[in-house]
Order: sequence, then structure tokens, then C-alpha cells
Amino acid sequence: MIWVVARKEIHENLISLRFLLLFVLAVALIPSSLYTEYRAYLARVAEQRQIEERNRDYLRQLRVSQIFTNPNFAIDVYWPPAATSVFASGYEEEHPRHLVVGQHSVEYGAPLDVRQSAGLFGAIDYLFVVQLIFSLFAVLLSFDAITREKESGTLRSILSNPLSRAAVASGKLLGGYVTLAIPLLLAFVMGMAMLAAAGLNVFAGDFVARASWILASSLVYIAVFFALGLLVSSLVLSTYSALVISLAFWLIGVVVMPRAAALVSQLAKPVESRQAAWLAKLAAANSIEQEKGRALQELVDRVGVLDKEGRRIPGEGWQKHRSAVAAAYEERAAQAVKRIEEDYQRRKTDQRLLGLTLARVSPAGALVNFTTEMAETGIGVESRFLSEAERYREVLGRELFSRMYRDVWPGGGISMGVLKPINPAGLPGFHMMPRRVRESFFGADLAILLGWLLAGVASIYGALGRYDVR
Amino acid sequence: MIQAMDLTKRYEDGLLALDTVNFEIKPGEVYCLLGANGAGKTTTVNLFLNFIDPTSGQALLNGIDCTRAPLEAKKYVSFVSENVMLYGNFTARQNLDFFARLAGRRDMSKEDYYMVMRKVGLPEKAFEQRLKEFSKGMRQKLGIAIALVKDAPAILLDEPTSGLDPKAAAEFLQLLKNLKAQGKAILMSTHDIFRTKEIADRVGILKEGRLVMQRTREELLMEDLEQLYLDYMQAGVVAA
Amino acid sequence: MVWTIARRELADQLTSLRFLTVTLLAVGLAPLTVYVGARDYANRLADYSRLAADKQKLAAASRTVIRAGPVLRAIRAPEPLSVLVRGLDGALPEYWDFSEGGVVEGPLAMRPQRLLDILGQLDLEFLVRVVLGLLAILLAFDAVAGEKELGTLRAVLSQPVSRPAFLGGKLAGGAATLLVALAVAFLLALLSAQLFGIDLAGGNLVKVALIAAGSAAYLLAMYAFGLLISALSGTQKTALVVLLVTWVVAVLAMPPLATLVAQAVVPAPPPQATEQKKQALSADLKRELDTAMGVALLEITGQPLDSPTVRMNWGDAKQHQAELEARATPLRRAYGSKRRQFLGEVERDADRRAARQNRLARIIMALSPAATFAGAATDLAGTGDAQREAWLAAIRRHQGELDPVLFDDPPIMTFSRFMASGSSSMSGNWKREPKLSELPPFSGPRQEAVAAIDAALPGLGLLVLYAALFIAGGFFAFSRYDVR
Repeated sequence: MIWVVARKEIHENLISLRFLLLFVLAVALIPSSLYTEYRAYLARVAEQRQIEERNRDYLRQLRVSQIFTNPNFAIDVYWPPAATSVFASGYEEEHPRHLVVGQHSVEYGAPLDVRQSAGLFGAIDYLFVVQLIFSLFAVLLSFDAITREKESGTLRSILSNPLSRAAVASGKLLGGYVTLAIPLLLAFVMGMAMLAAAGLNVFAGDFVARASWILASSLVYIAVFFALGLLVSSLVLSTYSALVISLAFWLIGVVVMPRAAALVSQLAKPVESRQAAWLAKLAAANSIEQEKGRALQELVDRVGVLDKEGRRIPGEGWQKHRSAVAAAYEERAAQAVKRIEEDYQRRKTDQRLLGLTLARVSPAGALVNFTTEMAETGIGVESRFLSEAERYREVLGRELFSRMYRDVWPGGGISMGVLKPINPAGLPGFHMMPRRVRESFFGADLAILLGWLLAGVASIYGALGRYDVR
Repeated sequence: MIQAMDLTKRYEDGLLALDTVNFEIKPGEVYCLLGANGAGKTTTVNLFLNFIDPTSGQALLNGIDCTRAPLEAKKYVSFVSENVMLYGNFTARQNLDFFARLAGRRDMSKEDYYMVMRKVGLPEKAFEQRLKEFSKGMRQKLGIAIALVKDAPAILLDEPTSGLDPKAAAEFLQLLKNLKAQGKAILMSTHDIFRTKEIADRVGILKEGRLVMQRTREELLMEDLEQLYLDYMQAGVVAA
Repeated sequence: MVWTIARRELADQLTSLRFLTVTLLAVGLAPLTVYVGARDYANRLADYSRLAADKQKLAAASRTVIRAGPVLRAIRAPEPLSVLVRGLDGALPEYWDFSEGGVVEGPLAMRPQRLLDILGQLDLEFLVRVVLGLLAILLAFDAVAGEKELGTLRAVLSQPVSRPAFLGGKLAGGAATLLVALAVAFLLALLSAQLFGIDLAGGNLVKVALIAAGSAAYLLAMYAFGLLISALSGTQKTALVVLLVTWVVAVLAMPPLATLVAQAVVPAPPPQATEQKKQALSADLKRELDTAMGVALLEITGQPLDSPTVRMNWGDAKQHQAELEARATPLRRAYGSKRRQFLGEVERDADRRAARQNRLARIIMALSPAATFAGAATDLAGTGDAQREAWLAAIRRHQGELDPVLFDDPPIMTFSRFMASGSSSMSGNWKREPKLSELPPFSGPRQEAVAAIDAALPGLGLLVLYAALFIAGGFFAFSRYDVR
């Protein structure tokens, strides 16, 4: 019985205008966006390789003096884009692929490919198409699924036969969803084929596994919106009201809820801008540096030798004396900067986590988080990159920064030099291991989506069961 | 076959739509339920189809209580609604096929469907035509075709001839007579007195939820139904 | 007659579920978006003040080395109207630095978050473009086809009412309804802006009025388009499906699609690559110059060039200054001109490709009234493409002004000699370092209303054209409409 209804549903949908349009749009948008993102990805990889090459060359021929005379010396580290970024690329600025590792802190580097006119509108990638367009179509296919049968009286005709309302609901759910999923599946497969034809080795590494998970989450996501439309259809009497209410819910669920989540997190846990934190760090480091300069001056006055004009200048064994005094201040400076950075990071993370958690309550938020993490372009990867860069900074601290010195004298002079030999060409490079699929899998988001789906489906059965068929 | 026993329905807003209605329709009988708009005709049909629950009393189809065992009861009834809309983008045959399967008949071939449609008088070219292009008369015939395919012993019709031109209505009535000859029990709610006189074996007049009059065909031949109808509408007298 | 129909239409729409739902949504969203915008603006303003104060402090200090960034920095103040129309205001750098290797961009003002801003920023412009645009569609889809299905179309046209009069009445009624919703949204937004401390007066108010006018034109165009489709469709269901798909494509998909297509057709190198290239080139040229000067010094002081140890000190340089100058002048002139030539080439090539890509994207976007509206609104608010290009032009211009004074012939001369055992180099002030007051000041792009209007005029004109086109189409389609 369920199958009879489902079959009719599928048939009815397949010959409808909206299905045709949906199909055309899906088949047009998904493969083409995947392909274009892939081309962009290739360009990004090539550019980044070139940039890294140039940096390596630069480091190789760098003179030590160029390092210690530069108070802002820093090493650029890059994290290569993953092939799966074709699914969810978003803004490049959002996930820094370029960090600048300096003595005191790790800062964001210049973005690698700011899309020229992309300022006003985001990218149209696979995630965009599913999140926005497919969800809308799910609603458009389902909003009148039941109300049109109510209005034309066919619901009564169906229910004059020996099948339960639950059976009708199941048939509608099954049939409608199948017609919605077909274009997505087809477009997805076509997209994969296009990628393979364009040269991407889809079977390399964990690409297939990640793509499969992304597809799975998309399928659940559109089911959620399909159920939403169907629920409204079963609760409301007229098709027209169903349309307006469904569209309103769609707008709220996809657009407003995530934004509201961000707002709440910003209100609840405000954090100053990165620039302010950076300035605070600079101020702290500078003031301690002044203190150090004064202490060194006192040291020179005490143990220095007299020069031709009778002034005290550093003499033999200066380095030993200097190290004893300077080390304490440098340690304090490092600690002060670290504390400010950690505090800032902690508050930033708190705010972000709150915003993220709230946003993920909505189906759109959950989908975006799951997909971006699985595609290795999400927030989780960004924090990983940042923490790896932080570790690298500590390595550099050992191999590089702690081997130089830079003293600012009260009179305004600067003396800098090398404490231990430095070999710029021999500095360790930055390496980051890519995450495994397991680490990119955020089951909570899938659970949220499934939760919405279950709630929606259960409500449909309830609503149709109580519906007054007159 | 079709039996109402003290059937009563009071809605949540207090409206008493049916008040202890009793009738029994035997196989091969056509029973016409007459009444003004809002008299309770549609409520009666709805009760038999379990679209609503009675406040008290029973609606029975083939002895099965429609409220307690609706799915079982629905096996024995075919329903033709007032406005047979069906699925506009499907052809007549596709519509027929869908409702046949819902009724439990999976054994029918294309030719079988064509035969049924011929039987109800649909022109050949209409078989594969989409329903949105059908006239009202054609749609009503398709409604009968659906009932034929289900082949249930009871048939419920809700205002089937309203809006039909005389020729179409006559054809429709002929089909009903054929069904009656096959032994179906037919309950038809209508306010078409003219057609009622032609086809009804028994007539019941519903007024404000009460069955105020019942007459057999023989009794009707002797009385003027129209006058009766108007009289009872005005007088409001309860008669046996 | 038109007035009668329009009045009925207006009354009908103002009490309809769709109008009430969408307007309620707008009422809720308008203050929310302005609040978010105001907070963002306050944060960015604080950052700007900090940077400006920093720069001021550096400029006042006497021992500042000019050529070291922050003193020369061009800092960008956030646009107050970005509270209403965010546009690119967050996507532009907070400041630009000028250096030997050309312009260096500072960090972006705001990092966008994909999770939270799927359709770009949630601002007043979004409200008009997406939400009210949807309302226009919902009001229009059954304007003709729905009345036909209900039978009321025949009822009305059986009266002495001409078809143009009927459609005109529908148009007027629908337009009036949309204007009500628009007015509500704008008033609430302006009140909220006032409440949250953003002062919108004078020129800004003119710009806001123009944005409102542009919004009206956009909504009229969308509504007229809806009427046109409704007058081409036999059933309201068909009209609805076609319109919603068009809405999805034109409002949601088309704008980013345009960017995508433009990038695919006219790829342009990322700014970082260009910057890197320029810096590398400049460093190469500088090294060439320094080495040549180092060789000159060694030759003049009579030291052998391939000696493992060389001696370079400022005293020697001072002693032989005249000879060194004679050797230096042609070298430095060559350095200056080569630098300008090479850097200029790289820049021009990148600019050209970026400009072509931009142009293509904008042409494609002109196909969608929604994208056109977004462009016009952002241009009016001073947060659009025109503004960005104006900033970039001003920045380029300033670098060009600074080049001859600071970079083509740097006041600091370096003599260096790289040898197997290391390098020896020294540098010092060869000539007087120019004072900050002697440098040409940086002038940002024009801010007045006139500039904004100039930039937005083509967009606004296009919107009016779209509206006129769709209205004409609607009248034509309805004159041939099958009323049965």
C-alpha cells in the first residue's frame, strides 16, 4: 500500500515542471561548480608551490645579519589546500592558509587568493548549492504535497480505501524524497566524473571516503527540509498558506538562525580585535625591553671598560655578563606576550565555540560544519594549523630566536647580534600532517541533522493522524 | 450492507449535525438521502468513511463498524465524491490504475482498464488524455469507473449529479442502474429531486440532522415528492 | 477605474498572510541587522582610531625612520553607512603600507565567517534584495493567473474595464504594498541606527534616500516581472514555480555564479603572488645596486675584489665621497628607472587581468536585477566595487608619488660585498632623509554624496530600465491573455 502511494508520488513529481527545473539546475550547478572549484584549487596549489619555492630560496641565501637586524623577522608557513576543498571552499580569508611565525607570536599572513570581485557575494560551491538551493527545492516540492490533495479532494478518495493515514504519510515521504534525491545523486556522480576527467585522481587517498560522507550529510539535510515542507503541508489547509509558512521557515532556518547564533555569542562573550591584542603584546614587550635596556646600562656602568673618551663601553667577557642579566628580562617578555596571546586565544575560542554550537543547532549550521570539516576547510583544521604553527614557533625559538640578541639601550641605540651560530639554510621546515577521515568526522552534526529529521517525520505522522479530512 | 444505527454526531462547537439517524440499505437497493445544504448529508458520508467519529451510534458496512475497524470496512465500499478532481497531470488510465491498486487490484492490464472505461461511456480518445482536459461529466464517469474496478458491494456517492448537463446526468444514472442490477447497495446523497424520483428505491429526507421522512418507491409513486419535500421542510414534523 | 482596482488590490494584499508574514520577518530582522552592523562598525572604528593614534605618535617622534612603514601608512576609516549596507567594507584592508617593493596590504578589517553568513552579510540590503524581493514574487505570482482560476478575472473584465486598466490597477496596488513594507523596513533600520549611536546626517542621509529609491525601483522590477510571468501562465502553480526558480537563480545563485564564471574565463593571479613578485624583483634590483656600490667602494679604496676579507667602513666612504658619487649616479638612476619599469609591468599585468575579470563578472551580474541592485546599493553606501577601486587607485597614485622621493633613489646607501666566507656590508644615510612634512600627503577617495551617486547611477538606471521593460512586457502579455 505504501509503495502504491509512493509510486504515484514519484510519477507525479517526475512529470511536474518544478522537478524538471530542479533537475536542470542541479545538473547545471553541481558539476560546473565542482569543476570550477577544482580549477581554482589547481591554481592555488601551483601558486602556493611557487611562493614556497621562492621563500625557500630566499631563506637559503639569507645572511644571518639580515635576520638579527630585523626586529620583525618571521617565517611564512603555508598549509596546502586539500583536493576535497572543491566541495566547500568558501572564502579563502576565512581559513588562513598562510601564517607568519615570528618571535613572539603567530599572525595571519596575507590571503593567498582573494577573489577579485567576490567581496559582495560568496563562492558558489557544492555546499552553497546544497545548503541553499536544494533545501529550497525540497521545500518547494513538499509544501503542497498534502494540501493539494486536500484541496482537490483526492485525499478523501485515497482514504476511502483500506489504508491507514500512516501509510499515506509514509508513501508521501518515501515517494517525494526519492524524487528529490535523484537529481542530487545524479549531479553528484556527474560531478565526480567531471573531476576525474579533468585530471583529479578521485581514488587517491581518502577522497572517496570524504566525498561519500559529504554526500550522505547532504542527503540527510535535504530530507530535513523535505520533512519540514511536508509537515507544514499536513498542518495547514490551503496551499497558499503552506507556501508562505514554509518559505518563512526556510528563510529562518537557513539564513537567520546561524546569524542569530553569531550575534548571541558576540553579545555573551565579547572579544577585542586581533589588532588590539597585537598592540597589547607589542606594548608589553616594548616596556620590558626598555627595562632590560636600563638594566644593561647599569651593568655596563658597573663592569664595562673605559674607552678613549672616558665612557663605559662593553668590554671583554661582555657576553657572559649580558646573558645573565638579559635572560631574565627576555624570559619575562616572552611570558608576558604568551599570557596575552593565550588569554586572547582562549576568549576568542570561547566566543567562537559558543557561536558555533548555537549555529549548529540549525540544520544549515550543522551541514556547513560537517561538510567543511570533512572537506578540510573548516574551523577545526584552522585551529590545527594555528596550533601546529605555534609548535613551530617554539622550535624556531630554540633553533633561531634564542640564539640572537637584541638590546635597546636607554639612550636609543640598538645592539644586536648572534649568541650562538645560526644557519638560516639549515632551519627546520614546517610540516603539518593531514588529518585522517576519522578526525574530520563530526558525528554530532550528523546526529543533529538526523534529530531534526526524526522530529519532522514523527510530527508528520502525528499531524496527519489528527487531521480532519472533511 | 449499509446500515446506520442511531447515528449521532455533535461537533466540538456544539452543532448537532446528525441526530439518531437510522436506515439500512440492502444489496441491490438505491437509497437517496435528500436534504438542504448543511442538513447532514455529507456528515453521514464522512461517518461511513471514518473521516470523523460519531458521538454515539454506529455506522456499519457489511456488518463491520466503520469506527472500530475502518480499514476492514473500507474494503467493502467505493466512494465517488462530489467533484471528481483526481490527478490532473495523469491520464485517465493512470488515475484508474492508481486507485485500482489502492483498492487492492494489481491484476489489471491496460486492456482491462480500457474495457472499464468503455463500460462507463468514456470516449476512446479520452483514455490516454490528461485529466485536466476532462469535462465534469467525463470526470464523474471516471469516478464510476474507479468504483467499478474496486467492485465493492457498497457504493457511496456525494452529490454526484450536481453541475452535470441533462445528457451526462442521464448517462450517469444509467450506470447507477447497472450497478444496482449487479446487486450493489448504493447510498446517494443529493438535492436533485428529479433524478431521485427516477432512480431511488427508497428516499430519506434529512432536516437539521434528523431523518424526518422515509418513503419507498411505491409510496412515492402515489405522492408528489416535491411537495412532500417542501412541506416537510416548512413544517418540521417528525414522521415515521 | 485603475484606482478602484488598485485600492482593492492594496486592501487585499495588506491583510494577506504573505504580506504580514514577510513584513513581520522584516520588522524583526531590520533592527537585528543594524545592531550587528553597528557593533562591527564600532569595533572597526576603534581599530582605526588606534592605528591613527599610533601613526600620529610615530610621526611626532623625532628619530623616526620614514621609510619604515607605519609613518607612511594609509589608514582606511570604516564607512558609517556600512551599518546599513555592509558591502566590501570589511573585505578591504585596514591599511596599506608603502615600500621599496611596492604597496603592501595590511590585514583585512574583518574576517568573514562562512558558517554564519551564507548569503553574504545580513544587512538592510539583504533584507530588501532577498526578503522583500521574495515578497514581490509572492504578491505577483497569482495576480493574473490566480484571478483567472478563481473566475474573478472574467467577472472584472465583463465590466467596462480595459485590460491595461486592470493590469495597471494590479501594478499600482502591488507596488503600493511593497512600498509600505519597504518604508517599514527602512524606518526601523534608521531608527535602530540612531538608537545604536550611528549618526546619519547630511550627505549620508541623501545617500540613504537614494538607496531607498533604488530599493523601490528594484522591488518594482521584481513585481513587474512576477506580473509578466503570471500573465504568461495558465495556472498560478506554473507561475509560482517559474518565479521561485527565477528568484533562486537571479537573487541567490547568479551573483556568485557570475564571479565563478568570470574567474574561470579570465583567471587573475592572487594579490599575494603579485606582491611577492614585486618584492622579490625589488630586492634583486636593490642587491644589484648594493653590490655594484660595494665593488665601487673596494675599487676606489684599492682593495682587491676577490680577497677573502674586505674592509668596509663609513670613514672610507666619506673620504672618497666625490668619486663614489660619480660612480653612484648612473647606477642609481638605472636602479630607479629599472625598478619603476619592472614593478610597473608586474602591476599593470595583474591590474589588467583583474580589471578584465571584474568587468566580465559585472556584465554577467547585470543580467540579474538583484545583483544590479546590490551593486548600486553598495556603491551608494560607499562600500562597493567603485569604492574599492577608488581606494586602490588612490593607493597606487600615492606609491607613485612616493617613489621618486623615497624609493627610486633611497637616502640610505648600502655598500655590500658577498663573499664565500660571508658578507660584509654597511649602510648609512647617503643623503638627507626627507622630512615627513616634505612628503606628499595621502589623499583618500572622495566621500561626498556626488561621488557615490556618480558611481551608482548606471546601476540605478539599469534597475529603472528593467522595471520599464517588465511592465511593458506585462501589458503586452496580458493583452493577449486567454481569460477563459
